[in-house]
Amino acid sequence: MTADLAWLTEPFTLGFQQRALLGGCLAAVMCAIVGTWLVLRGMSFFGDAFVHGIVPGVAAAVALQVNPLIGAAVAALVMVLAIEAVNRQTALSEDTAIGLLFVGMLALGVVIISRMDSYAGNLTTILFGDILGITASGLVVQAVLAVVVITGGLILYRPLLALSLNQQKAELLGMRPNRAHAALLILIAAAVIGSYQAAGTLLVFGLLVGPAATAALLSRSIPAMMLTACAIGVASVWLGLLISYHANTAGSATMAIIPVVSFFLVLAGRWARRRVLPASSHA
Amino acid sequence: MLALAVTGPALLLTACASDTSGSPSGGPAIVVTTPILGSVVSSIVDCAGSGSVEVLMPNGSDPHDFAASSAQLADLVSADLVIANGLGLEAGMTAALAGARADGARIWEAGPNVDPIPFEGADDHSADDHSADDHGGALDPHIWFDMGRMATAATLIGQQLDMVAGTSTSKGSAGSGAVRSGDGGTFAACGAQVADQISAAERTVRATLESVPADRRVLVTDHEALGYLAAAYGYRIAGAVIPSQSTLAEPSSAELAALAEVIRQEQVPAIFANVSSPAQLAQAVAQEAGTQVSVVPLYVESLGEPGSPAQDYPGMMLEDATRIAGGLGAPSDG
Repeated sequence: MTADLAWLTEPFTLGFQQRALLGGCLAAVMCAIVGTWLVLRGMSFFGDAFVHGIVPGVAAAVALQVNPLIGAAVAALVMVLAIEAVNRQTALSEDTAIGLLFVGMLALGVVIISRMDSYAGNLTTILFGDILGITASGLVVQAVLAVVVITGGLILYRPLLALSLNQQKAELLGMRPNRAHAALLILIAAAVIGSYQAAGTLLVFGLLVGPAATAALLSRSIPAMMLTACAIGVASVWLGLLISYHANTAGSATMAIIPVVSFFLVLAGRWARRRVLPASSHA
Repeated sequence: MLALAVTGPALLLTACASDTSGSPSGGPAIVVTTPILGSVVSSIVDCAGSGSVEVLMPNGSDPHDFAASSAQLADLVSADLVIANGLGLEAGMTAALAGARADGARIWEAGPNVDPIPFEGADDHSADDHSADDHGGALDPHIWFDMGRMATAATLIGQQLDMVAGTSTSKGSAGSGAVRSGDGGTFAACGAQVADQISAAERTVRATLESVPADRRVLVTDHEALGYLAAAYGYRIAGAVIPSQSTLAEPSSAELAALAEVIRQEQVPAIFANVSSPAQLAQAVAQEAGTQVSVVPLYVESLGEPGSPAQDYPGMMLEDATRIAGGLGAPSDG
């Protein structure tokens, strides 16, 4: 029994492990809140593009020796403005604009990194995260961003709900859907910027969409979905770090796999339940 | 580059092999980042007969890219002494090492203590460029290519080990070497002994490298890693396939073309690649420069497999010197 307990607690006894757990949990909560809206509004591809879009900002910031968070914020702004510009100027569907910006920004990031002759811009770290290297000051920044995302999520709950159901109706109700949409983009940016060090710009998407999608299978209301997504995200971070410690696997990647695996487990569970108990599922 | 992104997780997954040697009973627990420093530290510990060594990076891994696992970082924090190369070599571990230091790890870096030389291509990074971490981008971290500096490092490591083990006043040594010295402790004496072994191997390395006629001592390498070798043994660096001190950068097509032109003009007979990284780019440049250019793999940032001539640090340097002299067409008496 004590051996089992040690198996669970040993990976979280040291400072860097506790910072990893705390930073990962903050990232999971932020991602769960905005991820819920991404999943409900069918914006997953946008979210995916968004997390890759900040790579050039981070790389340039490292090269210019400014705070990577500032670079990420600038890149996020460029990304959103450019997608909006393509949408307004052309008749192309939005996924084309997102796709263009997605690959353009990611390629630009790699180009910037390939021209740096110092070690500071480690592509692997930017893409796959460095959860074991989270600093105390990084945690403070994450906590501030988490407060922004949680408060923003509460304030925007009704406008975003209206927007998710029906854009025209939201307009008729005087909800100003464009403003709500813009505010959501800011929340996504805050969540992604607050999470990328923990999970990396490639893998943060796992925390953004995985828990929310799994929660969508399990929940009947949006608040329940958000809370379930938070719980799944936090559990994924904890379990990911636990497995990564004992199996010596990459922390951020292990963390990102778990919500995806949990999604398919829930899906399989639902399928099995329907097959085994066909009557009760229709009751 | 996408290939790099895709292989990243695989690298991280395999980056967990570790190596332990030395006696588990007693003596300081030492964690070393690179296999090259690990070889030197293991020799000192074997000589002293106490202490244990854990090397984080497996042989063949890229030290610029390696990321430690949570369990390895836990060992690092709890070790009596952590020995790192420093100067930014362990780029993938920068944040992790800083975090471990904040958690109370005792980390000693060899690079800053052996009078490092500036990295040749770093003129645009002035020394007063202030960066948050203490790994300036302007100093070359590949210190092991000067065996004199590594001998100094071995001596210093011995002294560091005495400090953490508190053996500078020990009465006797149970070690196989049973080395004693008047002023230092067991580890300091063993550090000095290993430094002597490195210096002895250096005489052969120097003789081998100096057997190449002076006008043919020109090096083209896969990345800018041989600056110390050039400075210490009278060689000139004509260029690098990846014009960066890090393997993580990528060359442009114009740079590769210019390098091929340099090789053709100077009639460089060989490009020295890295045994542990793919040599496609070096092959492409060699083909472009002419059929008589060969691509010779060197042990650049990692040792050879156990049992191979390059299985320890002096062996690696002897092997590299032989390959360099062979590649540049030295008289075969070597």
